[in-house]
Amino acid sequence: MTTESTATATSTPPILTGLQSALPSPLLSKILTSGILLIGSGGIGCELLKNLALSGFRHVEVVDLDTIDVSNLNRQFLFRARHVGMPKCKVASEAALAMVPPYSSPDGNNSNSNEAAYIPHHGNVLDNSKFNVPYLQQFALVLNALDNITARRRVNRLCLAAGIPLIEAGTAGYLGQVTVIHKSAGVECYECQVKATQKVYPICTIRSTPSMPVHCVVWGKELYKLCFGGKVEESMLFEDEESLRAEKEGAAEEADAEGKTDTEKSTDVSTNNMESAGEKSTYMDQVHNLRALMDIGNDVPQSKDEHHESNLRIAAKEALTALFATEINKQIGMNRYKTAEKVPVPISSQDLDTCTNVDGIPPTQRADYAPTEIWTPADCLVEMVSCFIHVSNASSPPLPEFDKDDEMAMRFVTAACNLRQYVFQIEPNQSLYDAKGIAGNIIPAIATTNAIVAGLQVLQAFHILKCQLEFGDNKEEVGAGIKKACRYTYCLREKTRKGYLLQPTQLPAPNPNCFVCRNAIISLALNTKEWTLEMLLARVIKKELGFGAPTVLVGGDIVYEEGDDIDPEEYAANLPKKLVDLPSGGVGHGAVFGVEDFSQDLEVEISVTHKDEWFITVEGDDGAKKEVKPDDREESEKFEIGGKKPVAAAPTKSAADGVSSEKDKTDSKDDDSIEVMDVEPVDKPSVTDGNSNNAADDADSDIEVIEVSTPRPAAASAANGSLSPSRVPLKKRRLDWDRDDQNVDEAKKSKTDEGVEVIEIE
Amino acid sequence: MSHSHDDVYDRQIRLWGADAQASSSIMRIFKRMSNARVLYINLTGVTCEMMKNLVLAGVAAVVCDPRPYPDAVREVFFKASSMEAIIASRRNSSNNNGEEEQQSKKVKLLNTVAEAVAPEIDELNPLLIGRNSVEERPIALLPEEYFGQFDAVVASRLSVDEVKRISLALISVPRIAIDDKLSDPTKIEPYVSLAKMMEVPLAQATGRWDKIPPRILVLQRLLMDYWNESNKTTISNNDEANARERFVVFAKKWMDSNKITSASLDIEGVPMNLKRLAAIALHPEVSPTAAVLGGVLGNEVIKSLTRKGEPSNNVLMFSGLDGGCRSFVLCPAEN
Repeated sequence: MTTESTATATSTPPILTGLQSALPSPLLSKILTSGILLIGSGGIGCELLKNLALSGFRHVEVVDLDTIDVSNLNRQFLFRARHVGMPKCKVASEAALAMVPPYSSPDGNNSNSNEAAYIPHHGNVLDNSKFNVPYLQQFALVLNALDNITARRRVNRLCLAAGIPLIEAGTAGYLGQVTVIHKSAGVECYECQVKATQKVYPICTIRSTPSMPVHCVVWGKELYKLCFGGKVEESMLFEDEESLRAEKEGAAEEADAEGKTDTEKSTDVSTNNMESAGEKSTYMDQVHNLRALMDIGNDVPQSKDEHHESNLRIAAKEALTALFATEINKQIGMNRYKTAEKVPVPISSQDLDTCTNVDGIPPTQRADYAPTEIWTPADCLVEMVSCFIHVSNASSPPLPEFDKDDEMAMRFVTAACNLRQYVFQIEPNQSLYDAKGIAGNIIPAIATTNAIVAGLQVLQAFHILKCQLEFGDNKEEVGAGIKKACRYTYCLREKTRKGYLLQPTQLPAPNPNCFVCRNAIISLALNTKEWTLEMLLARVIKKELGFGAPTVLVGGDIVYEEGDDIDPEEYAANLPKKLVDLPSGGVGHGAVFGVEDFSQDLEVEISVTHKDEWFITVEGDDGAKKEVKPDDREESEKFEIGGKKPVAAAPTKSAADGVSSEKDKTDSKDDDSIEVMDVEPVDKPSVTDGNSNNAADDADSDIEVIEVSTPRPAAASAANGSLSPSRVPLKKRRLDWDRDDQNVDEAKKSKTDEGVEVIEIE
Repeated sequence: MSHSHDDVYDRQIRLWGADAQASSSIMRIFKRMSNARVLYINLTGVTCEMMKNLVLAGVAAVVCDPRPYPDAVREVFFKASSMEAIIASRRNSSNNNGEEEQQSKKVKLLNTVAEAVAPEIDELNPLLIGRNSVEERPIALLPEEYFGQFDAVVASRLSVDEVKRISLALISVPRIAIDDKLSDPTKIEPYVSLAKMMEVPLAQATGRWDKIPPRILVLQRLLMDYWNESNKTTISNNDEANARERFVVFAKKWMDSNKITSASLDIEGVPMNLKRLAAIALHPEVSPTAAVLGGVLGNEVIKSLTRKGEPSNNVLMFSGLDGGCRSFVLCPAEN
């Protein structure tokens, strides 16, 4: 006994003695030799690397494509100001490696294999050529420290296919969760529950009937694209004759649905037809003129004379007048707002005159400027004009897409958003700080919560390694061990009734309808006579179902295939075909077709229902759903997966109504509940999805946000002895945690029934 | 809020409000955080994690830890590798007995833990440079009113009497009034002093959810009493086996006198081996467990500093085995 403990003491670094005494001794050797793959080295990733290093892990590989930003420094503690702009994975790996305690094995064999190595991979986990199933199989387990759904789904599928345990975590502010996913453990995978992705706002809400600040922020981002983007037609606000005619027809149909008398209708339609013959956009000419003056999209750079700035100011005034007055008057004339609570008020000509006033100082250039202040309409106009002048004078062109970290873009969008809010009388107005939060989809984050979930993840890793050590190659036994030992842990802001701040629950059973881990058949309803294969691939197969390189099979024959060694021309002819017209019998009502993806070892069957009439539903006062008007979204937005509309595509009540409800307003003022706003318009999937791993900012996670009531003084009594939960039961409880101990299924059910929100974070 | 503050703290400022109306209150909360100072007495893995989190969040740190570096903090993560190197070189030097190493050993011994970590703290958040400091006096020499100047005191590895003294000092000092309605101190009910908490016989520490005293609470009391009696914070390698034996003897006696059955120490029905417990008692810290607890406690300090959210009261327990963290009030039964 004495000799043994002395021997271990000399070979074990003091920092690991705690671990050595807490864990059975072979486990420490397992830790020292196991390979760990870490995806993400942001907020949670930094904490994980520190925990791994101080727990003695010596073989860690880190994947991250991000670089370090100033706003990371308040929690991603392996980074210093001097590291800003450098790859996160590289800086983090080096810092963590320096923390690994030196270790010489007890037999004195200090070979190279014993050398600690933390290897960074500055790349995207979606890159199948580097990060694939065989690559993952080198590791004992995978730790996720990601900030977006796309990458999480990818890692989930890779781990399921490779049979490697995955420890998944996410945080938002004080909230967080940790869980373990493993194929042979028979537990829920990341995709067993529908994740509410980004909210989608119907184009008409953004273009004509905004009712919430977020609609105006989205509009501001589109206006940025319209004014500064490389391709003006990519903006949702772009208009040409064709799009205007379509809009007219849409308005006529709407009038139809509102139940006008036949006479009224025919008058409306005839006027519309008459107008649309020579219809011109109220603002596109002015915008084109302004773009030309700023040298955007010009083939030959303009020569600038001393009148350039005043010409620019005049052009800016014309464009802003068109956007915030003429266009609004036109929409009012089209009876757009007949049923609206508030009729929009164009920006006054007096305010618009400030555009040409050379003495106007934009709010951000004033001495007492604070990012939290609210700008007046005149402030907003001066700010926008200063943006135009800035771009015109700059040596390099503006970013083609809005970026929250670009100072000019943020000033422009804030001003545009507020002007639009003034027009539509939408409150509260947004400061630059607020607008940045919404436009950049920023999730609050703090070091503490990241530290908690990362610590919990490594504790789960110990359980997994222990099972692997105990049961070796017996996959079933390892799986059963993991299911028994590991926990799904919620990190809460307020205590539960039993006083839990960290609430462990058993790993949930998989959803039998999960197409990812249970190979369930997916049911899909859409208009098979309008949808093309191209739309199906982009909107459903890639975006909703997360396929990377899909192969589509109809009647057993390949009609489409994608991949590194596949000629894109081979099946290109099928892309524009309507689904019913595809070869091998087509995909019509009642058809079942297959989709495969070898890169993630996934194979699903999709059963199709033809549906060509879509209505927007609203919940009436009695709670019953009513279909109120035809769904005017793009054809590619009209589909249902699994019998019900996917959360991602469902317009919110008020967005669909075009009328702001009181509830929305009160909700947004409640600063005790963390609000998560996902505002990327996703009508153009290729734009928002393509850079997902990158664009989701420096967020750390996704999370299941559990709504808990605001704290109130606890009136705990010591009725039953000395211990009592230190706070009273929550007044408004969505989920009774205590039931989790006894009946996981029931708790799971109540989780979905009682509407615990599942929200994508950072 | 200067511009660089805005950028660095952007993500956490957003914790406290997202709407325009909250702007002024965000500023106020932010001010509270950046004016706050937390005193850390004797650093451990857990309190280092807390300090790291709070310093990153913009809360200044005052460290009072006169213990010798690195012997007193073998499990602390600051400068982990350099610390290991020092220990390793010292081990070699004791073997070689070379004069030069003897010399360097003396130099190192002059360093207290507080001095050793001070530069690390500044580096974690350069915006706090000038507001962090080191308290060189030993705890016994610090007068009662000293503790009252801090917004929170984080103490570890103290004797029961020292803890009682500090906790008493904190409630007796009048708080400085600030012209800010939101900063009026809010009392969290019920308040139970540390002395009163300690009076509760462990065997009676039961409640609605706990038919027997909670395992973690029993372990905590056992370790606290053991350290109090053995009056040791570190164990040298040679002493290890003897120390384990002494702990087992102590633990058996302690359980009898506190009327604690071994069932209270069982893990899911599996009996706890006292020898293993002895090893844990002598080396109690494990990195991920310290990380979790440091995060939870950091959140509780932030709640109390910002007065946004109700902080935990009285006792908070975390079990690394299942990842559960609970808070409850421990007070003598009324009847």
